[in-house]
Amino acid sequence: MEGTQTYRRWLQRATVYALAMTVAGMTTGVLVATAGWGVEALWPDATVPLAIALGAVSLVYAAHELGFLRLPVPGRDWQVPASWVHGTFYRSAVIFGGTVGFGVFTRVPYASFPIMLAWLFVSGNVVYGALAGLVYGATRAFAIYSSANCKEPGDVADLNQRLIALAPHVHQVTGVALGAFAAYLLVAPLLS
Amino acid sequence: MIRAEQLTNARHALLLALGLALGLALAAATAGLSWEAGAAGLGLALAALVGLAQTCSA
Repeated sequence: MEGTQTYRRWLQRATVYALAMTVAGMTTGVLVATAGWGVEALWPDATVPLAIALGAVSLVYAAHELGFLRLPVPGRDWQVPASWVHGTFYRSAVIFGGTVGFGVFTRVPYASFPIMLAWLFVSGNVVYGALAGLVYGATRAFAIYSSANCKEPGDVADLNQRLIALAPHVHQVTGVALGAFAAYLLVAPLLS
Repeated sequence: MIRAEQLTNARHALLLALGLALGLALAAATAGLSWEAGAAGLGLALAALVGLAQTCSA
């Protein structure tokens, strides 16, 4: 009975964290797309040249993700201060999930994130920015549920080690995805 | 050791070629249609991938 209640509390907290992260991701998408919408209003003909330029940048970062180049990935190494998450049970979940969910304040080691934000800027579509940001935030938050079966603190550490060990393969997958995105942006606007 | 590195590079070059081929195939398949719609679909897929990839980061 106690175990069920503990699990229920964990599930509630995880869901609050996931929702905060999803809303934060959506907010980032809306802000970036709104900035792009403003630029598009000033220079309506800029979309295609910007998309092709983004295609070229994506190609370079695809080579980076696959290990052919070493490039800096735009981002910050800031971490959420421990003092921020010492609040009440749900408030700490909101603060941590919300802060990390924005994506732009903390470390993102994958080049596909700034490329995604750049695409939201180029698209200049606020509704689309909200949708893409929501997808990003929700899929990022999904990871919290992978630790549902962890009973001891050591189990979480083991799970983290196993996930981190997958990072080189994930870089390869994002390299393929960036390559596809690059080829599409470099060619498709010229065929339409 | 050098052979292992060369094999890795060859595998990564194949992966890059695969990605480029996928993008070109999609561009060819949607030629004449709105390129923004195709890019929007790819962008959503990229957003999901970025989110999931974050699970595997320190």
